[in-house]
Amino acid sequence: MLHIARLTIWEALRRKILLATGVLTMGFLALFWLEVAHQPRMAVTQNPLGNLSAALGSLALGAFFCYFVIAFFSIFSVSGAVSAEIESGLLAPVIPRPLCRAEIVLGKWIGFAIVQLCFVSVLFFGIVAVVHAYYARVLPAAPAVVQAWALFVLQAWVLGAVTLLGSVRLSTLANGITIALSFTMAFLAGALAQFRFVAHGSVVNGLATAMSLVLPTDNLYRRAVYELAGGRQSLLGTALIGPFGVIKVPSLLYVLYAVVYLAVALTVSVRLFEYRDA
Amino acid sequence: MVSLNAVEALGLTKCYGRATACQDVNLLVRRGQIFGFLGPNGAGKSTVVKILLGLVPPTRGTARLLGRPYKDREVHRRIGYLPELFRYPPWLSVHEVVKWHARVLGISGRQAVVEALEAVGLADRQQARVKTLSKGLQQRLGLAVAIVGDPDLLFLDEPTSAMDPVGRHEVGELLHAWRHRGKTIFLNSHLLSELEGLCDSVALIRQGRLVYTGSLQTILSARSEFGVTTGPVPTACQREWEGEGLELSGGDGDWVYAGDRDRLPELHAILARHRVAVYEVVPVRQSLESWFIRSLQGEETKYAAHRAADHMGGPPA
Repeated sequence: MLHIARLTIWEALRRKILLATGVLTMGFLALFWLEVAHQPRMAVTQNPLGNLSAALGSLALGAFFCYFVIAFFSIFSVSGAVSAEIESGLLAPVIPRPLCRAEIVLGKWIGFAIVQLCFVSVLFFGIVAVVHAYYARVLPAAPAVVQAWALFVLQAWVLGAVTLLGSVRLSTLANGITIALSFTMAFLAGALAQFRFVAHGSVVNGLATAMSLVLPTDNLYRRAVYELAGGRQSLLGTALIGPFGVIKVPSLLYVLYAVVYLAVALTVSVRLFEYRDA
Repeated sequence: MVSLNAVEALGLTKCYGRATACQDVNLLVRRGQIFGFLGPNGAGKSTVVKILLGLVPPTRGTARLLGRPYKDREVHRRIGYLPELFRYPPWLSVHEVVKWHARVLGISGRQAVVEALEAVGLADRQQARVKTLSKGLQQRLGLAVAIVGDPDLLFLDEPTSAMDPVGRHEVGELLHAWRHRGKTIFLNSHLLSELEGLCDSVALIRQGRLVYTGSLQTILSARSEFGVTTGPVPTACQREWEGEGLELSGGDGDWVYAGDRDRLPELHAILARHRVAVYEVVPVRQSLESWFIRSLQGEETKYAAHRAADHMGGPPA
């Protein structure tokens, strides 16, 4: 399993995937810094609530970008992990080796998970550092930031696992499109559920819940934003940042569900790959 | 007890919906042999090999490799494989590719990697990236990957299809040396002239079904033919040998007699009676290629007859 994981990380390094991602991430963080730097600010003593709102707004905006960039990174890097390698003949000399198929699938996921961990960490802590540079006094405590980071990592791993599952059966393009559209639908359903007029038990709310079960990334994102805000739910409502905010905080059960979802996605990937021609 | 057979396949069948890639394929390959697996394009050769190597799950049937179940993980440590369609990570160097496969086999030293690369003539290109190699050199790399770890059983699917004549010759030498060391080689190839000089036994597959399996020697000596070079042959002479049931084809002094060796004096006597000069009588060895074509044509005729019979509702002619 570790042979495959090593090869996956090796590929990310050797093919300059990490280098290109790193350079672009720096560019992204520079733009984000410009955005935060040009926000109107007052001394904390003059308007503490206004500054808190601005800080949380910046964090929420950064988190939103982080959410999308991580998703696209995860989808694009994993979408051809199995199918493209079978089509190109890369796996043909590997499968007859003394490796079981589960090792190949799980090894690939571990490799991608390590690469995702590095990427998410740089991006997330970069965003937090930029906001911290301007709003040091109003930022949440370190444990909340770490919890939010862990949720973003989990989001990347869940997307990686479900994209890997798709890559066992679908072509690279079909898989990439399917997962990207599902991800966008999950976000839209999650955004709909944030509006105050969407009543509990309504069809829209039911649809949002169903979509969050199909792909639990949106709940992880909103829980991460909530953690980043230090649990200040009221300031993250639709009045402040609209559908990107958090009116309804996903419970920790959803986080647990995401962990189970990840395990199931990997198990199904392994089972499907065992019966796939290579 | 160590099994004498390197490959034992029993009833291997692979279906894709209503299409059948191979059906009830039974194979037996003795240890220490070079085995040629022949068949036209799309006959099911690669499918059988892929089933044996665990790349394609069979619909039915089972197999044993080196005396153990074909899915056994330990047996896969003793197998090398060069696929027909393959690619190695283009961003790795030649040395890194072979080293990675050696590591998977549990070999950590540099020696095994260098030996494999030397054996295929890639020792001086160890640091070259895979993407810079020509097709022929990539095939050599594939061979190095297949032989690293000194496997007991090698599956080579079209191993020389992209190589120049020198490369082919070198691979032939390598395979001979491999056999002398008691290794078993399972070869899929369209280059029948090469197989003829290499194989101990062959099998022919057509439309997913095995139509022949046996020793190469049996095939090559199954049909006796003699080339007869003569002066001008009068029509009366031809009529006489036809009347005697002697089968000669050709003309203009170059004839091929297909028949029993014991009847050659009879043919000679007829030619002498008609004062036909005989310059040369030489045995013609049947080539694997001619056997292959004849076998497939024979099968074609048989299948056509079956189809016609099915169509008419009667037995085949």
